[in-house]
Amino acid sequence: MGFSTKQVHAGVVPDPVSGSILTPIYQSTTFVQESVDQYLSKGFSYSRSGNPTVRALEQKLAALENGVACTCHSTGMAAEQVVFQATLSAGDHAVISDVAYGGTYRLATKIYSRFGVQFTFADSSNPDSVRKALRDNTKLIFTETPANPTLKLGDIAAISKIAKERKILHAVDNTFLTPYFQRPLELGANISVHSTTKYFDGHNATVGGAVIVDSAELDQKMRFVQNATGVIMSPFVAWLTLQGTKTLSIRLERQSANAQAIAEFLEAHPRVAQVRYPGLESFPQHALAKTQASGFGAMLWFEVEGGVKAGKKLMDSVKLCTLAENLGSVETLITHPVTMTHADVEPAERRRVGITDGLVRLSVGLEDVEDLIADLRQALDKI
Amino acid sequence: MKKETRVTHPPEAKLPDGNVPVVTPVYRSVKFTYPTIEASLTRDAKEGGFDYTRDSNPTTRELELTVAELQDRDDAVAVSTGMAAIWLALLGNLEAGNRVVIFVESYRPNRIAVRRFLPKLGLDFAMVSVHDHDAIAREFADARTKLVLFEAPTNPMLQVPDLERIVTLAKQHDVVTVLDNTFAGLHNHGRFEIDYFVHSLTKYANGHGDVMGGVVIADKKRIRALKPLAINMGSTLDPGAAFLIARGLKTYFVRFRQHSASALAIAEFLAKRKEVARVFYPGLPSDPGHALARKQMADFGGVLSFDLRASKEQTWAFIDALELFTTTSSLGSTESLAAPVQLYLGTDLTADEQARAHIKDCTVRIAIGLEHVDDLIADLDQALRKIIR
Repeated sequence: MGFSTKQVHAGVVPDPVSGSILTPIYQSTTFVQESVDQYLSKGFSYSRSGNPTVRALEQKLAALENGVACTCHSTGMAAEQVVFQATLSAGDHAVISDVAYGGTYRLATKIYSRFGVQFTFADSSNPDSVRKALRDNTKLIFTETPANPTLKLGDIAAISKIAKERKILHAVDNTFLTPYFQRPLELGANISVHSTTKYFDGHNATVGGAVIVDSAELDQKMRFVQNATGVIMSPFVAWLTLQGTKTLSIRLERQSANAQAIAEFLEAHPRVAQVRYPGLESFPQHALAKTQASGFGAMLWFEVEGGVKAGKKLMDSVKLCTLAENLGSVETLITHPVTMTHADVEPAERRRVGITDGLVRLSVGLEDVEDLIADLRQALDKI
Repeated sequence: MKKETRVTHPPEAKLPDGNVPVVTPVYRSVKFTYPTIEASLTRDAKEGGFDYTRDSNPTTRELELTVAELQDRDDAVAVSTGMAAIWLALLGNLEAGNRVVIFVESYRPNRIAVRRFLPKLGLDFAMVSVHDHDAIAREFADARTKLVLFEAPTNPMLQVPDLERIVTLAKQHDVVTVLDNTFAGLHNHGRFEIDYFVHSLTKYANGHGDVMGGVVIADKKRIRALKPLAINMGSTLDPGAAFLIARGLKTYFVRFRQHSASALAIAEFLAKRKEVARVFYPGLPSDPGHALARKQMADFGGVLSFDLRASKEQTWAFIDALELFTTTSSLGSTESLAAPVQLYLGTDLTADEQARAHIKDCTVRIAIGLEHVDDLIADLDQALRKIIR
C-alpha cells in the first residue's frame, strides 16, 4: 500500500456503532467491563493504559514507519524520556549524538546521570566515532538525523549495523524528515522517535510525541513505561494529529520544494555567507542525504554577514516569517539561536555544536514561496 | 499577499479594548511570539511570558493557579496524568543511592513506581504500614531515606494516616513528604506542612470522567526548582484537557459534598447488612480512622470499600449483578463505579502483604457518583440479595 494511502486509511476503521468515517474522540477516562470475568475483553479499561482514539493514531504511525507498534505520548521529550526509561538502568551506558537537540542533552546530563546511567556524546556523522564510544555496558545508541539545528546527518544503516553487531539498540529521532522521507526502521534502526508537534500535526495546534519500534517485545517495554509513568497523549490531541497526518505528504512535498527554492535564493545572495540545506549540491553530506532519504525536508540554516547584529536586524525586519522556535508547521518560523534559543549557552559550547553568531534557522512553511523570498529579500536588504 | 500565504496568516479578528471572554479560551497554539526579539527578552516576558506549550500555556496556567490556591499553596505544575505527577515529584527530589518509604496500603501504581522502577534507577525502598509509627520512625532515621510517598486516605482501603505525626517525623530527619491527596480532594489537608501535594485531576477536580490530568502543588520555591525537569520530561497537560478540568472545578465543591453525603449514607446502609462483614469509610463513626479523619478533614469523599461475607466467585457475581454501578476502576466522576479490589489493585502484593493492607478476595471498592442515593442503595440492596450461600 502506498504511503499516501496508508496516511489516509491506516489505523482508522469506520465506527461500528454510528458508521462515523472518522475515529470518534473517546474522551472517556474509563471503560466499562462486561463482567469481572471478562476484564479487558474489549481491550480498554482506563485511558492511562489505553484509549481507542490514541490507539488509532498509534496504529497509523506504526504503519507509516513500517514498524511493529507505536506508543504516543504527551510531547516529543516525553517520548524520548520513555525510550530512556524503557531501555536504560543504573550502571548502563548510552551513546548519544553530539549534535543532539538540547532537550536530549539535558535529559541525559541533568536527569539520567543522577540515576547512575553513563553517557558518551559521539560524532554521529562518523560511524567510527560511534563505534569507538561503545563500552561493554552500552545499551542504547541515540542519534538524530538531520540534527537540530546543524542538519548534520548520521548514516542510519552504518550505525545500525554497528549496533546490531554488539546487540545494542539504535534509536533515531526522525522528527525532521518524518517517515514520508526517511524510515529508520527499514534501514536497521530499532526505534524511531518523533515530536508529533512538528510535521505530523503540522498546524501548530498540539504538542505530542511518538515511539515506533521494530518488535513486540520493545513495544511492551514502552507501553509498560507509558502506563506506569502516565506520559500519555490526550484523545483530543490524538484526533487532531490523526487529521493532520492525512496531509503530511502533500505538506512536506510543498514545504521542501519551498525550502529548496529559498536555499537556492539565499545561496546566491551577497549578504549570505553560507547556506546549509541537504538538497543543495554544496551540502557536505549531499550524497548521504540522497541515498538514505527520499527528500530533503523543510529545515535549513544560513549565516548572514555581520554576526549577531546582522542576525538580530534580520529577525526584526522579517514580516511573514514568524519569530518562534518551533518547526514543521504550515507557518514559516525563523529563529536566531544566539539571541533566542541559545542565548544562555556559553559561546564555547555554542561553537562546539556549530552555532555561529550570524546563524539563522528557518522552518519553511506552506506560504507561497514568492512571498517568502520577497520577505527574506527585503529583510536582508535592511542589514 | 498571495492566497497561499493568506491561509497560513489569516486576518486577525481583533477584540476591542476591554472586550474580553468571560471564560479563558483554550489556547491551542503550540507557539507564542513577540513583535521583536527585544520584547521577548524583557523580565516580564521571561518570568510570566509564554513561548512553547510544552513549557507553559495560558489555559493550563490558569488551572495551575486555581488548584494551588485550593490546596493552600502558591504554585503548581500540571501534567498529563496523576502518575506523571507522581513521577515528577519523585524524579525531581531523588538520585541514585537514595531510599524511599512507601506503604503497603498505597495505590498499586504508586507502589509499582517505587518498588519496580526506582531500583532500576539505583534507588532502594522500604515498605511499611502507614499505621506503624515505630517502623516509619526507623526508616526515616536511615540516613539514605530521602522521601516518603503516601496517601490520605489510602486507595483502596481508606486507611487514615496521622499526618501531623508523619510530617513531624519527616521534618526531624529531613525527609521530603509527597502526599497523593487525590482521595481527600483539593480543599483538605492544606494546613499540614506537606512539601508536595500530588493529585490525579482525572478524579474529583474534573469530576466528569472525560479527561486525564495530574498536578504537583507546592510553594513557589519548590515548583520553580521542579519546573525545568517538568519541561525536560515533557509530561505536559494538553490545554484542551486543562480547559475541561477548569470547567469541572466550577462544580467541585457541590459535587464533593454530594459525593461525601451519599457515601456516608451508603456506608451506614452497608454497615447494617448481614451480608457485609466490614465497611471501610473514614466518615463512618465506627471506622477506626474516624476520629483522626475528623481532625484532619472537612469531609470524607466519595469512595468506600467493604468486605462481603462471600467467596471470591460470589463477590464477582455481586459486582456483576449491580446495575447502576459500572464495573471498572477510577473514581470521582458523576457515575458510580465498582471494582473487585484484589483483582484490580492488589495483585502485586503477596498474600501476607494483602492481609496487612486489608485486601481480601471478598473486598469491593465503590466510588459513589451523583445519582440519587436512594437509587444507589436500592441497587446495592438487590445485588446483596442475590448473593447465594
